[in-house]
Amino acid sequence: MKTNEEILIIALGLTLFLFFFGTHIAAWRVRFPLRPILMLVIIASVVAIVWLAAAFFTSLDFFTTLRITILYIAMVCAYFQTYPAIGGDSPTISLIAFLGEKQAEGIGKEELEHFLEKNPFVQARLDTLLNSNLVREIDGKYKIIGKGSVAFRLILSFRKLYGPISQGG
Amino acid sequence: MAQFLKVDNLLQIASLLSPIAALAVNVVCQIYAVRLRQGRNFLRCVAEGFLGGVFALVAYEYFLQQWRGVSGGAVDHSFYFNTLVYLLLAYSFFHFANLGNSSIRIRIYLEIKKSHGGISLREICEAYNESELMVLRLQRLVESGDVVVKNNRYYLGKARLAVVASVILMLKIFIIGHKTEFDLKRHCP
Repeated sequence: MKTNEEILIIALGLTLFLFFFGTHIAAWRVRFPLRPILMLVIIASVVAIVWLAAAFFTSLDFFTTLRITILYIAMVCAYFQTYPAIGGDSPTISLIAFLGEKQAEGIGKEELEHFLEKNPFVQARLDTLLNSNLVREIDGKYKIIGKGSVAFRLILSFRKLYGPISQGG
Repeated sequence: MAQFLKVDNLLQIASLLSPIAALAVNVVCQIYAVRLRQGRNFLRCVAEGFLGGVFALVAYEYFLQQWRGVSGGAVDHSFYFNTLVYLLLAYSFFHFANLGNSSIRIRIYLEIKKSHGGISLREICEAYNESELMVLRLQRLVESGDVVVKNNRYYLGKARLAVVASVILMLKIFIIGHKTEFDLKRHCP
């Protein structure tokens, strides 16, 4: 691969990602979606399909097109993994931000409890499961719908590879 | 097909597989490190897995360079592209692996799945106590040096996560228009 070719690949991959990101921001400004990850997947897929259709009519060779697509997919995957920390509040990041605010005096047990009262992480994640149609509330009880999502099963299966480790949270 | 499988094309395919091979080494090294430490020092295992991947990437690229017959000193530019892709994949894998290790959503999902006939909000909150959750997280942060404990009070340690928190806060304001998601959330009973 030559330098010019590499610059072209990185520039086009970045342009595609920025196009995806711009569309995502515009869509979120119009209306915040109930299932944001699904909406992100749809936007990313549409951008990829439009790109591949457009690339067909250009003089780009197969491997250059493939490299640009791979770079775009890698950037989108990285964004998908970052988005939950942006869309929802991560306990770790929120705690670090809180500790940053109280840098001089630090925090004790009471402040920590007050922080938890203000930030109900468990309820927020339960609401996410409800909105994603993975869980349903029936007569005050929460139940799994169907066999569960493929993504969740994949994560749980992968976790088993680690062997016995402490529970999540 | 015969045209497609030229030596040059095989080299291109082998080059495309470089970040994937490095990621595979990263995954294997990380799993091995976690199993060896029985789940302790998870972040250290992640770092070791990542470094394993970097070594694999460099070795793979060196092998490709020998195959191409590039003279010593001249590095083919696909190395930079493959490094960029590997960094992005390793970042995604870190979050994926961390989901199974620390995600509240996964834990709640497991609690509901374990229950027969469903589980109430009170039971979920009892099973997944928010104070315990925070203690667990603080423990991890203290282990990694991001938080330090002095006289039973917690202080910010290394600045790296504070930088991440600031960036995420800015992104939150830019993307969702709020600093926090907790404006309208219900609390545990």
